[in-house]
Amino acid sequence: MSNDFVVLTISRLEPNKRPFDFLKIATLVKEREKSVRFIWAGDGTLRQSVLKVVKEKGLEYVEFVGKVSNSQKEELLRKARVYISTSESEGFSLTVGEAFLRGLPVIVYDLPIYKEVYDDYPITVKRFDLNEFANKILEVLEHPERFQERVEKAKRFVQNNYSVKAIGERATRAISAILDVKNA
Amino acid sequence: MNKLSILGVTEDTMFVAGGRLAFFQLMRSLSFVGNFVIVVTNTGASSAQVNITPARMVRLSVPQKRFVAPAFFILKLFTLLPKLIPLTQVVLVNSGYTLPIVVVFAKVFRKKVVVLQHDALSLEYSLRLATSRSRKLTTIIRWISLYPPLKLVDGIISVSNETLKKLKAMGFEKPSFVVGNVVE
Repeated sequence: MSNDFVVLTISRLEPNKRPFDFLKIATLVKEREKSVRFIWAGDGTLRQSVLKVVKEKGLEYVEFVGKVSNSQKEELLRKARVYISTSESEGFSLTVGEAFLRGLPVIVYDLPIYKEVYDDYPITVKRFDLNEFANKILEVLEHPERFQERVEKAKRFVQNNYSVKAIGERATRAISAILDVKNA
Repeated sequence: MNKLSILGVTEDTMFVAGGRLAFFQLMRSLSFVGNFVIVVTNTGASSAQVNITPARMVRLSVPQKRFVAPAFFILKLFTLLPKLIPLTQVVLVNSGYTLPIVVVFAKVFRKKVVVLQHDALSLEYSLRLATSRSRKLTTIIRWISLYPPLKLVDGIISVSNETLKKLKAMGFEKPSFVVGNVVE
């Protein structure tokens, strides 16, 4: 069990994060790859509903671990082979960047936000196409070498664009400009 | 670049959310590059997860219950904001239920208000995501506290251009800047 491939999501359990897509994708992948576990870290209003489905359908390869500490999050990112997000709406998607920094390939729906924030580095699939999503996960698990260079570039991209210093300087310029506009 | 004196205000809740983490990281980054930053928030899920050093944080204790937590936090803000706002150049408030009260106090003390907008959701879409009648009610209250007060702020900073585009489509146009988000 401990040698299973881990497919990870860190997100709130809310309707716009589409956790039921996560369950269906997990089932599609499990049909073709037995050594896989799906882990969702994070809590939210859908917790009871998703746990009910997991219990009713006997999806023992899916775990909803709830809210995690920073050290538990690091441990999960270290164990994971691939990071996925089934979200249909994002403002930035911080955890995608965190996954890149830990050297993980990332699979998401083709929302414009990912292109804007992370360039072409996330692997995108057609919105709500569960079969394509499952196929991409299988491809990443079976051929990680195909995505290695992409992940390395993604890591450098995140380091260069979203450091504490870079954001602090950008935000200071933005707030100063807003103050200048009103004072002018 | 001139150094700024900034008061940050954000709610915390029982769930860790990307927008809140983005706000805390933004405040940390503003402090990291030399601005004087103090953040006021309440006890909640981020208590054990967030360290915004070198920025300073005042975390007001509130009961961890729906409806009760926001009520207590707002009451406490009524006594704290009049003391802190006069000491700062600009108030940076996170998109959330504290926005209206912060805008009112900032206007009373003739200070500029900037809001951090992480995502922008229409009322129709927000209602579609609400999973129960009581959540639909709180969604409406929350939406009213989040968006109409944007007409009164002096500027908007956002983690992505996608969010600003959505805001523009919803009819909110203010001096706006994309600053990104700290990823570590």
